[in-house]
Amino acid sequence: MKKIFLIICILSVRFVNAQELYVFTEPASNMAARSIGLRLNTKVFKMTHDNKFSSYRLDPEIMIGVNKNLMVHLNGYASDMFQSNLKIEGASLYAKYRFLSRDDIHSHFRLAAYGKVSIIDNPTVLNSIGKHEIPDGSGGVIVHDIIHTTVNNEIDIDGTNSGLATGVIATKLINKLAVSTSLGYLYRLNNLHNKREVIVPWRAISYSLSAGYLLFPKEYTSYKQTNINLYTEFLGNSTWDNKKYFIDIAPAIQFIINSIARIDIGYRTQLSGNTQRMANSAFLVRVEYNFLNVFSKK
Amino acid sequence: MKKIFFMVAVFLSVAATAQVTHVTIQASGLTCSMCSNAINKAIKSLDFVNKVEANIKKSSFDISFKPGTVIDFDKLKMKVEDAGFFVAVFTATINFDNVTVQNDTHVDAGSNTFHFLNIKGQTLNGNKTIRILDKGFIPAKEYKKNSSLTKMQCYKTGEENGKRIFHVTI
Repeated sequence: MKKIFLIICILSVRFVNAQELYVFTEPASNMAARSIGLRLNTKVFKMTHDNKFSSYRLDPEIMIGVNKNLMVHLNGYASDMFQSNLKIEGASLYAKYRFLSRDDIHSHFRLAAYGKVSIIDNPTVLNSIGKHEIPDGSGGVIVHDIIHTTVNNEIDIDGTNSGLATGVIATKLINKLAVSTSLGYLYRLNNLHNKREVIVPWRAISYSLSAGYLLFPKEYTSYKQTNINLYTEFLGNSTWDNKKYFIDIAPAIQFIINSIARIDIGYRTQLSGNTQRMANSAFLVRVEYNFLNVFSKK
Repeated sequence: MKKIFFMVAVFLSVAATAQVTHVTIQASGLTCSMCSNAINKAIKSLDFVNKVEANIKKSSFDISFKPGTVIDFDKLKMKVEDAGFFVAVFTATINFDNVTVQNDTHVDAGSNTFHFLNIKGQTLNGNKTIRILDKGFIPAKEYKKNSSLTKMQCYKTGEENGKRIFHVTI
């Protein structure tokens, strides 16, 4: 099944223009030096405990192109995942360094290394209130509230857990085929006011494979043209401590407007896995605006 | 009278030997208009640049300059690299006035010193387009291949006695 998806995604980009502005992962290429990008990411999660799209997370992001090889992302997180109201959860800092570029006219190969630190103030388990019925002894029932506890075995440092991540990204473009892959290490830290529990995994390996293609325009004539790109990504995670894994498929559509703004709409859902997760599926909507050469030297 | 003639002659010989009229840069590895726009904006931020005409399809940029300014080829190249890309082709159209060039020889023309490679000896007059062959101005593979064209060290260092030398061909 996995293999078939992989072949489809590679074949589908074989004869069309490739893109590498991936929606769920970062390419090895960087944003322009001395530029700033602003993003608002919104995720709506299909929660495991009620099987509904009942939680969302807002994730404002500032991206800074420090120089041609180094870029930095700052994210803030707020969600209603662990309580009924929207609550600020924490922040993360991400840095990516491009250390290899082999560029030719119609191809390039790039390697980058990244590191991320995330500080989050969330509970370690999700307590949700359900209804429970007990017989009242005379044929009827008494309905009362009961607390369900959902344990999260997925190390998610994009808002759920404090943690560290590091890894490498390789992006290859040959003529019209662009594929990116990454391999990383995830380490979970204690959330600010809640210690991790012994059952929760601490360490995981993350991996991804991404491909994208340009749907429109067929031919570039102006910066005003809206670009439409389609992406398919595979995102995997294997925990070290308890030997669980999951692999998600994440299709997405992307609009680039005026060559300066970007709208991404994506959906991520589990293809296979045995990890106890708080959410197996999520929608992602992202808006992005770039300010080029903001701290330009003449 | 003689003095005036002399002054005019000096003026002409300095000002009109080689004026860079425009530069065309083709960048490599671009896949979308956002990348192209990043290069476009970066080049425009240079103070000697007057106008940039971008061909998004070919990912090339035609650059014209403000009159009376010194055109810095290295800064133009740097702007493409800052946007995250590399220069594949860098050509400059220069208005030469009676400049005699020889193969594998340095010649001062305007504010630049050129080292002509792979050419026949000739006298340049009027608008001529030259292609820069220095490291970073052409794909890395081509740069390596071209190293057989000269034995001089300046091809590797890009300078001689602290002076910037541009390696070019016609």
